[in-house]
Amino acid sequence: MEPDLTSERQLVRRMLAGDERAFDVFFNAHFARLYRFALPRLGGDVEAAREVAQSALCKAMRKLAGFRGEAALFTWICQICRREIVDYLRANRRHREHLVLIDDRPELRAAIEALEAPEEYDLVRSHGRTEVGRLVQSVLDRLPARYGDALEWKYVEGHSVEEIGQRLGIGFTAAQSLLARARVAFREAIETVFGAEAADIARGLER
Amino acid sequence: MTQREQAPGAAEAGSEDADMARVLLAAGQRPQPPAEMTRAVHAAVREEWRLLVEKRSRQRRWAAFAAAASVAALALALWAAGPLRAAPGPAVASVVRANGATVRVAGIGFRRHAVREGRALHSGDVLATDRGGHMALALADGTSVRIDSDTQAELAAADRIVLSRGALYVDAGSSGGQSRLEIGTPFLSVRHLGTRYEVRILPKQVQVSVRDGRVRVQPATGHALEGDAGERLLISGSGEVERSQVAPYDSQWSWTAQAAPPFEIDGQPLAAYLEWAGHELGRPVVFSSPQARATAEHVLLSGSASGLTVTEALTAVLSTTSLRSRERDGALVIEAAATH
Repeated sequence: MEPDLTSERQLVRRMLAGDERAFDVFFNAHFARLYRFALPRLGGDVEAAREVAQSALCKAMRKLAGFRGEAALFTWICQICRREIVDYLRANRRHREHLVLIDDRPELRAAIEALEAPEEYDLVRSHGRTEVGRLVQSVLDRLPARYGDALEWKYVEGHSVEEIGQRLGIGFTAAQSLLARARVAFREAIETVFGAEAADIARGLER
Repeated sequence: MTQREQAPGAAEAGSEDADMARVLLAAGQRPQPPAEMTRAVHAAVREEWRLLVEKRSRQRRWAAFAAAASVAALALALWAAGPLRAAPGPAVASVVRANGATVRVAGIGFRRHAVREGRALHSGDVLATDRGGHMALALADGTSVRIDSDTQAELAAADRIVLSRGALYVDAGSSGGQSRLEIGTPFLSVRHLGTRYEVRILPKQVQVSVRDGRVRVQPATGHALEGDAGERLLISGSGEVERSQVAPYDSQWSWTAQAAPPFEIDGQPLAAYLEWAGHELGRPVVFSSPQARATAEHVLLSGSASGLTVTEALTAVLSTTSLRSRERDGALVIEAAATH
């Protein structure tokens, strides 16, 4: 589940050196996830989410040389994005009544960011299926980008391993291996965040 | 017990993985940002990254120089490099006409400020117009840039504007070939080789229309292409190009006359004003007789036409003279008004 911080530091070094391909890898790995991070925190306002995500990524570019790799790159960008959201909400009164998301609860936020188990309680009963479903999606977004995509393509969209390999530009065996690692990472992550086994979480969501 | 929908791909997995697949299926697909939005944000963030890389490259050059120099030279080099690190960008343009326009000032959050004529704009400022709004800017090198309604553009640098929504019109005027202005869009950038053109973002394409001169279009991938005066290029994200014709007086340009910087008529010869109006309307001025030309050259205007569009001002100005205008064969014909 741990993001590969060494390769993220290498990615940042390549970006700082002006490597165009590294920039595209960075952007493709982070924009959609950051947009999803901002969207529910801005009441589902698509344009606001775009503006905030763009601003956060631009600020991340300006601060890129200061990224030390102590946290995952996405976690670092999310911290910038949180400040952008606060600024946006201050400047745009219509969003004042925004929701506090369950993944913004301190214990869950810490669990998602650091994957340390929160106190156990029945999230589905407390917050309802939709919110918990969104929390599962947040967990997917916290996995390395290709893991979340591969799992979604396989289990939600029903693509074959061959198709996933083609989408990722890798061979069948590599795609199979990536899916196996992604499953392990996802299982560990949701069981840590929810404090329950996948079977129980599934039952709760299907209730 | 009810029959549950089985997650795609779950059948081939073990029971533990089947549970995990059920969780994923129940959570559903994550929302995706629209492709057009992704391209626009990519362009804006890439521009920021490009500036960072250029800045670091300059700083490295300065550092190499400084290391080889004496302490005194080092101090001088740091002093000289100072402006490169300045937090607010330098002033790169000023507002010459604004209606329904706002600016989000670089680096100080999301608050938008109404734009007034005369305001200095800095690199990093994000300009936006409402539906029905317009704005005209003068860049430091004299290039005129007009912003159509419902548009958003960032002044990325003195010679680069990143358009993320709507349309821009560039009139390099007398600066012509000296101007190095580049317009960036989600999947291409445009530089002019002549004087006047429009760049417009459409749902899945970018439209580049050339009124005078030529432009060079550089797609994000693939070879550069050129557009000549009177050409309209529709370029898709995958690089497909459709060319068509657009006359310099086509209705497509009418918004640019509405957004045109005002012409200060007070003390100017009528002929100079007519030349300007013809330029803005895309129609060369033709005098129907030597007498009409002589009248235009001798009449001196007084007062102001500010707040009027080019067409409104032309009618208002000519109504005070013995001349009138009409449009014929692409020209603006100036002739003696009929006497009653």
